[in-house]
Amino acid sequence: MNALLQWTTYVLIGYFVVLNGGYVFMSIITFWGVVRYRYVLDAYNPEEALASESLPSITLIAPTYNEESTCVASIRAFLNVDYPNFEVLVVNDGSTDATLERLRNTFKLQPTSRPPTSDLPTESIRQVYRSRTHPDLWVIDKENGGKADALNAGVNFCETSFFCAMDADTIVEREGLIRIVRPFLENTSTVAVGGIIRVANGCTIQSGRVQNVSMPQRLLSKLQVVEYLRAFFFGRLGWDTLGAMVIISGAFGMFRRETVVEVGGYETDSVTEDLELVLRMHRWLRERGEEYRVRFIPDPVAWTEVPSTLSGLGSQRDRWHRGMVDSMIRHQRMLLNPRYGRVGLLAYPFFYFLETFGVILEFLGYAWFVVALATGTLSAPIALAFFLVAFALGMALSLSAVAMEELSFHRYQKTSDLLQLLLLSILDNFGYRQLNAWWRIKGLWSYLRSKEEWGTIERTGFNTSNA
Amino acid sequence: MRPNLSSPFEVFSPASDLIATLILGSGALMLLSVCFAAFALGSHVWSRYQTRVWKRQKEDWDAQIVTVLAGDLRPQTLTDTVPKKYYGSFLEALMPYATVVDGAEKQIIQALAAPFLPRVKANLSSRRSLVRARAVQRLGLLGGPEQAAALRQMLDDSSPRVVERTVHSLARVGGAADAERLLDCLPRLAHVDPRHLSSSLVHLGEAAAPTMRAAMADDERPPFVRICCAETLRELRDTASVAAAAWLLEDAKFRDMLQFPKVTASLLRLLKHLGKGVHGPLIRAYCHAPASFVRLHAARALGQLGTPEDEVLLGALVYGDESRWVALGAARSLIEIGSITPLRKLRTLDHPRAALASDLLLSFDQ
Repeated sequence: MNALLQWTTYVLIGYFVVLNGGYVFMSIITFWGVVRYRYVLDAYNPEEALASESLPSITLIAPTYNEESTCVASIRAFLNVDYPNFEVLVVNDGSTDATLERLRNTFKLQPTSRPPTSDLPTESIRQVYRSRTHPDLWVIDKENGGKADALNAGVNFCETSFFCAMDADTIVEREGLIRIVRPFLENTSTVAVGGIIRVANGCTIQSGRVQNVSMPQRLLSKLQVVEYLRAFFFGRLGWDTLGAMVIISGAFGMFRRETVVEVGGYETDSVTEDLELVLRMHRWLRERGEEYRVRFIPDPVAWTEVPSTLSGLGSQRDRWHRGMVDSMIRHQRMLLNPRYGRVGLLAYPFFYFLETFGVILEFLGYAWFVVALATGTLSAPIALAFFLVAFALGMALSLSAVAMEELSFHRYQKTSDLLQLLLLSILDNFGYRQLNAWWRIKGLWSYLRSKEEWGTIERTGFNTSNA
Repeated sequence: MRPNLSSPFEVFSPASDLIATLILGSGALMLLSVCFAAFALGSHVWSRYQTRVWKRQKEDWDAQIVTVLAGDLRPQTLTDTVPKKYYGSFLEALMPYATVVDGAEKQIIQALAAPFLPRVKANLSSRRSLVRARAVQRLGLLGGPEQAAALRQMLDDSSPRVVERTVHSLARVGGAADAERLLDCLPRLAHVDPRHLSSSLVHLGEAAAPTMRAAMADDERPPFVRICCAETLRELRDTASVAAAAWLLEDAKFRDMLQFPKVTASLLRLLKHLGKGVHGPLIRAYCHAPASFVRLHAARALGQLGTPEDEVLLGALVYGDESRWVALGAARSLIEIGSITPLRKLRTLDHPRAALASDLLLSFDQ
């Protein structure tokens, strides 16, 4: 028994050291990346790009399912984006609420037709609509088939070389497209680019624009602000700096259409179709020996409403983790395989061992802590000291993400908001992280039971009152 | 011999040492956290201060810049009031104007920027490529022809990013005489989207067109350079280049051109926009090219330059081309030349492309 406990301890401590060592390493890399990126931004002038004729045509694809409360505001934001030539394809994935009705009435949709450009398999299309007030807005009404299926339907009707996959409850900033297209212009081997997602809860939205950035009212949403900062700085910018980007958020990412069609489009039986697609693209392009780049850049911003209830958040995280496990297992051929370069040797092992399956050890660690304390295997002072290290490390990482945000984009301009962010960086170590671990364990368990539901997130709609 | 351990942690050290180490570690991390928090707060306060100052300055400068542009204030009167430490901010305030004005107004903006550009120029020799790239961008946007000499030297920079920015900047401030020089450095930028480069080369103006035409026709040049030239000539709407493109695409050179499908596609695009009906026969041959994107551009060009005689050829592409894109392009071209009979017929058949014809005809009828 003692030996078992001893070995459990070695494994847990090893996991703790490797995971947090990885985070610390990523935070250092990210700091360097943020400082460097400030110079890149300094030399890029969106107005100059807008004035030139070099910007390629783009299609925004926004799948929507039962999003009657937010879809109109989001689509208005899409239509108001500063970009010379783009189309918006909204794919209504068999909504059972008034989503289509609201779109039809607001944008004066009329039935029309549009020839598809590819034939990725999807559920059947009921009707294609075009707006009479906004000729660049098309709505594709189809039978319900899930988000990936809706995205594939959008890709099938996309006529441009690039498309931007968006969530219909996401608000893209005015310069979002000019900024996200930059890596494609600078290097033609770029196949996908991700932008940053920020929390819209608490912000004031008018005419499809975020007019006033503010912290959310609810604690759960506030905690997600810090979490998103950490995720997008360390989990995206850090990996981009290392040249091993594997995650592009489904809420805001731009892709080269041809590559997506060639790899077979979005996988409809995956609940994290965004992660799965990017991994498949890496694998497919590497196996063909093609030169390519997958990038994340932090200046194109999209705002999204995050779950504000425990059940909604739990359902989302359960799905995310289930999808992550699924994607990691599907493509585990890449794991530690030099053929897949930095993705196979660095990013994949990190996400596979630490982010995906490491949660078992994390949860085991919590359980072990209790058992060891109860049985007296672990003395209270050691437990307390160990807890202090874990807490201080978590706090330091969250605070470093807040510091990076202030150094780079400084979106939360109210001092009270910053103070909240600092406080939340301390608070999220108590309960929130453990809750996340629990949801991830549930996600893993759901995967093992092959549960494929998406779950539901109750949307309250954006705050459209005056600031 | 392994000692008999009462606690797993004793494998590392005596418990008290371990506790001390852990507490020390957490103390260090706490200290680091305090540093991050202080850094965040300091950055926040500094950013707020800078934003406030910038807003005030920009309002003030914007009003004065407009007055200078209106001719009611001499540029020097404004530049004399700009404190030396704020030269960067002042140039920043000028940039939105520099991207939208032209002619005499552009010269006024250049005159406003001129006293501060030597400081920017000093950054051209920075060790950091991103700083050099930024300086090159500022000189191109805010400088005049007098900056061209400094920019020409940057075409040999070790960083492709700097070279790319220099192409954009030198095309703005340089002249037609720089065309050859710019074309010579394009092979280093083969990773960049050609349209991105051609949209800058357009700034060289009509006078650079002869150099571009010669380069487009020169099969010794890398295909990438020839593509950039064809795109630039198209954007310049240089009608004289049509003859050169037609000469390159003529029957005798068909086989040669197939070796450069991307160049061929660019030439077809050029003909589509600037060509005439007389080029129709030339284009038809490329509707059978092996590369689908060449066939697509040929089909699209026939939509502009074709005649009802092309109905059979375009109809064959709609019915039988292996590429859906070519079929779609050909179907649209049929509508453009007013020959929709093949599409109406196709709609009624049990054919894989019947839906394509039906979709297009429906939107056409609307």
